[in-house]
Amino acid sequence: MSDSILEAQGLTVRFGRKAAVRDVSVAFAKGETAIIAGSNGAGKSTFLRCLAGVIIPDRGRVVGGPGLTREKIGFISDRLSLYENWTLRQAWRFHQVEFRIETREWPRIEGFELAAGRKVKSLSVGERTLFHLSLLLAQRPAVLLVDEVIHALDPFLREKFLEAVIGAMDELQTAVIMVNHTLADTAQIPERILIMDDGRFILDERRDELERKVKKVSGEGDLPPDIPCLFAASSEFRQERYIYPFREEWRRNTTLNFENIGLDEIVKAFIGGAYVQKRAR
Amino acid sequence: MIRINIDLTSPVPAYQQVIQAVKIEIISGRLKDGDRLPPIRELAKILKLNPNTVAKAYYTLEEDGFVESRPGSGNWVKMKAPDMDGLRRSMLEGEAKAFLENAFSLGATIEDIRRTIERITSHE
Repeated sequence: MSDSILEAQGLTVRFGRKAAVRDVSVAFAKGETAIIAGSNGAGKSTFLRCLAGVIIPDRGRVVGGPGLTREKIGFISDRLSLYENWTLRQAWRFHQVEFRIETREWPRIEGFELAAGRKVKSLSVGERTLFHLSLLLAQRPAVLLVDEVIHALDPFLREKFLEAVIGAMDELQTAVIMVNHTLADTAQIPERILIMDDGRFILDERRDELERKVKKVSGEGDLPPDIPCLFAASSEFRQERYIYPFREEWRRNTTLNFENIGLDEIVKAFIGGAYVQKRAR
Repeated sequence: MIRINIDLTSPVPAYQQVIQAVKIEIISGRLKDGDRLPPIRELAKILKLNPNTVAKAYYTLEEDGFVESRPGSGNWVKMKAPDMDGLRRSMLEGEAKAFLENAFSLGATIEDIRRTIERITSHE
């Protein structure tokens, strides 16, 4: 892909004998916004840390698009790498030098203000996250990697966080790649959905395509064998089957009722399906 | 201020929800010919949408002739009074179709629906 800003080629990461990421190849385009979901331990964070350059892969490599330097990649995770005893001003100065930021101006996020004399350790988790984001945005990043920090923010700070990210997407055409469990946290920002399981991507679709391709069938009645069932959830009182990929003609050929469902439920069905397969092995 | 609510759980794509909301604002008269729409980034921030989504909605509105984009100065409502009736009619038709689909799926006939509408309107 010529317009890709960041590309993973055959990435494999091992922790001892266990491979956390297995031979993953995927490309992200300039200005694209993607979300990576998946079960716990699927390898999402390891993969993102590889993209950020924090982990060196055992095999494969990460290739940046034209003009992409380390300074243009912003990585934010819940493990904040700022020296606790510094004041915010000291942290900013360090960041300026380290990432060769030209502006002298104190980094600001609209509607969110912190005193420069405070120490990093005095900040709450949410304040740290927003402060870190303000530092990263001062880098004017071409890529922003966000590892599961959004769900830990209160609704007010979450709004500020998302607004700041949207501003960067619009102003700088920043590509945003987020790891998160629920899509509801990330509003309507992601355009592309990836799901990881056992070190591999089991899904990579455009958001609107995915919404078209996954349907739910509630109630009794057997599925014809040619209709692919992704995941079945049943109890004494209900039975729900998730269909992927869906074809319009099944509405005419069967008496089943194919329901549209929201993205969080779609993701849940994929992860649920992956758990069932794992148990079967 | 423009009144738009995006339903995250709805299967209707977000950009279509934006298009629909802007059309309703225009029909109801809250947005008038020559009014300026919120800038893409502002609306994206308010609604927590991807700026591309808002841009796509504005672009479609422009193609459909509801909005005029002037480079460097934003998007403006372009709607002459005579167009309004046609628009109102087509939107009413869309709403009626959705309603009828639901009613038919309950097993109602056209006659049931007519009687129900008459009963409800006579009570009000």
